[in-house]
Amino acid sequence: MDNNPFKNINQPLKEVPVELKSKVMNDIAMAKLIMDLAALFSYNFSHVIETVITKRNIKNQP
Amino acid sequence: MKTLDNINKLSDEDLVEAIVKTNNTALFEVLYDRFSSLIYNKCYGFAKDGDEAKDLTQDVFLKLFVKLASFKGKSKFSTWVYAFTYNHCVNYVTRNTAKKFEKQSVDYKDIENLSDDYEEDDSSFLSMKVEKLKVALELISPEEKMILLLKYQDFLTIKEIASALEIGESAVKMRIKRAKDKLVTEYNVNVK
Repeated sequence: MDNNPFKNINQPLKEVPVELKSKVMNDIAMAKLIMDLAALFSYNFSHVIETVITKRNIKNQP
Repeated sequence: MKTLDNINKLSDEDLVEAIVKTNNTALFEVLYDRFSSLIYNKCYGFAKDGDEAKDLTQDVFLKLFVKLASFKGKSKFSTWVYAFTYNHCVNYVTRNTAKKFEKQSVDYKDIENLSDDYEEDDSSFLSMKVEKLKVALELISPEEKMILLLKYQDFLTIKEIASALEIGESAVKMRIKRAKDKLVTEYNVNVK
């Protein structure tokens, strides 16, 4: 399909507004902060369970 | 500088893996630089104007950062990003209608018929004029527009579309066929 008209429907490509990058990176910084804070106040349950099982096994060894 | 060079040499997939591991925003900035033009222009195709395209792009990148870990590397990252962006745009465009993008049921009779004689007959598109095609694309549903763009603008294979949209290959073929038929009808009947 050399003369595929779909190739040309978004031509010429629009220039990305310069100010958009700082807006996006601000959003990302905020999202990272929230995710990091959430991680501080939540348990990593798989790690907790694994640790308990490992320690229990060691304790029960003769 | 050497580190920056190394980062720039990373494939998209390796870069994503590094971002998921470290949650490093500087690495995400590299990803932004690689994909901002692509995502912005995809969003522009579904937006009313530049401001709306900007808002959509901003939302797509934020969602991308949060959901990046759900990329499992089964397809190329760019393929995944196409589908991710289109899904967001389609959901945005259809937000006020009850019909959100969903796994629509497919008539199994259609699939049986299609599986045997499915051929990609794209001759009906070849003679289409770009400006009229743009208008016709606005007359079909956003979901239909999305699947046609994935196939004919982004050149994804049936398999890649199936993987990206998490539906079967037969369903993809069926949807493409229906979307094509509808587009051709709109083009011939309603676009002057």
